[in-house]
Amino acid sequence: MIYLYAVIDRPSAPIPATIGLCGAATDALQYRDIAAVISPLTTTQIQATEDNLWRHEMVLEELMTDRSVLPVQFGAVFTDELSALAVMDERYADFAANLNRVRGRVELGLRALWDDPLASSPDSQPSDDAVDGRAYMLDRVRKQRDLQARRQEAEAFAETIHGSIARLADESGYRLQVSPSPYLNGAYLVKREAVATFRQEVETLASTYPKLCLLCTGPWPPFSFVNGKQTEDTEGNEKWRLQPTGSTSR
Amino acid sequence: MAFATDGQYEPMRKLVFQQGDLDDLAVRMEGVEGALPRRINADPEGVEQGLAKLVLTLIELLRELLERQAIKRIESGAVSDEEIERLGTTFQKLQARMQELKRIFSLKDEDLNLDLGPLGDLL
Repeated sequence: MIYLYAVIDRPSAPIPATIGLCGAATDALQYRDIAAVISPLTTTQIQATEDNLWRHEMVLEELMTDRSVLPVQFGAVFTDELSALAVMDERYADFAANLNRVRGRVELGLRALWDDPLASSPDSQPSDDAVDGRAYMLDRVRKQRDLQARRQEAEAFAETIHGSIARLADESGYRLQVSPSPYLNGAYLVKREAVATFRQEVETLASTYPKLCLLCTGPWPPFSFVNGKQTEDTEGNEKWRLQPTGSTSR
Repeated sequence: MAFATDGQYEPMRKLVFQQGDLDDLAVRMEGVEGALPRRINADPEGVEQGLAKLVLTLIELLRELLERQAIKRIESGAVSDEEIERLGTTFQKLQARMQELKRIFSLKDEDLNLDLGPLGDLL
């Protein structure tokens, strides 16, 4: 069995000597002008423990230092090198295009939490006095209107936050949760040399909105800008797919 | 790089910037990212509750969709007082039954929440 960490470019340049999962050394499996980074496995069951997840991340980060990396989601196991090469063959065009997209770029994450000025009753259940069907239904109508107003307010502010830093990114996207209080989770594909500017912009954002709870992390491999999905073909064999998510800006 | 020279992971190296109480954020991240039952707990003892969570989440999704549809109709003025009463009573009963099932399987409201992407949260 082999474990797959990433698809990389520049296969002729030796990859950093890194210890992967189960203490096995990583290796590059070249296909045309790209390569799969793998390590041998003696088991098919890789537990998603904290140590294993960080080990997977460490391999990716070592690779990121001098080449483009398409990170594969934790847990991709192939029966042998041939089955991994078959996926490389099948998905070559996608992989090559995505490596070009992320070349010289890293992912930065931004999470923001703020108070909802319109939040009156976080309780989504009907009021106690909604004793009959009509009162219940009208109570639900009122709460739905409140939620709609809160959503619009949160979306407008999320656009302000996201917009102020997304202009520094080549691709970006975010998800917003409105309840119980607005929570934004954004991902930004940023040129390596623009990371410092991005950080400054986040600091400006923080000083403009001092009540905002903010967390900016990175640089990460571009996890949010490639979408890994494990599927099975009609014979039940596992296939590993990497697909671009593209920009998910709203 | 988030790793020291000895290969140990140092998460703080990944911190670009922070403001405010990160504990609030940590609670929220856990809640949001753990909301969706991605996998059923297949332990013999937990499998019943895992399945119940999945099934009740789907029922709750349908109940919410029906209720929102009813709200839309009420807001458009297309529903008589009598119909509002009937709809309300039906949804009330459905909700009471759901509360009972949640109690039986020791599930909380937030256990059945779903992030519906652009549509927002289920609950």
